Amino acid sequence: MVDVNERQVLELTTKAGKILLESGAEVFRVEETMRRIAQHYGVDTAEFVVIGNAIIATCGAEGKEQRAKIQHIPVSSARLDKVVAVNQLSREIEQGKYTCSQAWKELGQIDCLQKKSAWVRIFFTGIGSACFCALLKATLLDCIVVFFISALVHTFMLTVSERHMSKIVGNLCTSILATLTCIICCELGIGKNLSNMVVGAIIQLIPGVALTNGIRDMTGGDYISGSVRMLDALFAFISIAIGVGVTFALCQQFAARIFL
Amino acid sequence: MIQILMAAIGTMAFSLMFGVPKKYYLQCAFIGGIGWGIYLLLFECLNCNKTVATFFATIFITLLARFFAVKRQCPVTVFLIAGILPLVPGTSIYWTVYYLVSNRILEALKEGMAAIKLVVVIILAIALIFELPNKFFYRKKH
Repeated sequence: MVDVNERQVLELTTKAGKILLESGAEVFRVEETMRRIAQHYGVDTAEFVVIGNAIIATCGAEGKEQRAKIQHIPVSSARLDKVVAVNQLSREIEQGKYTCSQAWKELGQIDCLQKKSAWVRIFFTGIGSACFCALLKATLLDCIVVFFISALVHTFMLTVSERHMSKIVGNLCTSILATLTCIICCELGIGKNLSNMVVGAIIQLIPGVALTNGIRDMTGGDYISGSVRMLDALFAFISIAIGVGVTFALCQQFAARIFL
Repeated sequence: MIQILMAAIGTMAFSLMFGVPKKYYLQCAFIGGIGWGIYLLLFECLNCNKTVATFFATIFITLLARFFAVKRQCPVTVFLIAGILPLVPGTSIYWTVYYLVSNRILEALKEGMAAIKLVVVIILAIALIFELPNKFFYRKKH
């Protein structure tokens, strides 16, 4: 046991919890990690409440001075590397490899872990989408076209929708763009099966992380966080669907007018 | 075979998007490939319907993800999220919207129900496997 003051431990655990929660860890994992760290540093009175976008942590025995910390956590994109890193760190803390301040520094480094560069992400989104397009038994040409379309769509996502738009509107615009480019490509004759292409192009928007974590929170009994995440996933699904639908409807209208 | 390979590569590409560390790429790809393989096997060879096939594929993916998580000592989410992706009913949702827009309400309803069924089945399968006690997975290690 290392003797450290409660304030430090409280801040350390909250920060660990914050990184975990915003990078897409499940609620019970966050709670467990925080509890483990607190116990290792000898703060047995610590209590943690983790919900969808906030962590509430208190410590202090009854009758003595008590401390509390509330941390708001904005929804952000999945960073599983951070989850893995914090998980590893908490395990090492338990083995007694870190003092409190060392662990704090380590957490700071984890928080600064860089994303893969934009080009790599764009490239691999293209690859992934093309592969999923191939799963639908699309032709090779379709897959290649989808590769470029989703690369374009992801570029749009990185530059416009993630920076300047809310999540719902962002998803909406991105799926409109995806559908529109697919339709145009089909009209130009560089793509055969429109449906396969659209599905391939929008698969990058599908909220896999929110859905999976929502399920896991729900089954863990954390209904509030679970429903927040499921709602997140649901809204994403709906806005993608609306985007696709609107584009189709508009194109049909315009096409009808042109041919009349 | 090509399909399985494609599922594996696709899963790996998307796991990269979620920021999975490099050392887990291979397992992610493996899970994605195997999961899709099982789905195909059930759906095409054994003539199961889509829902049943998705159910068993998800069960298998979740099992595998838990095994890897214990073996590699890392959060199970890492493997699960990427592995599930090929099974999420993107196609059904697409067709639902497509039929809705082209005023074919009945077909839209049919596809929409199919999509909901698939999602429910995925949820069920994941929940089921996570009810298994941890011991079941740790025993293998010792």
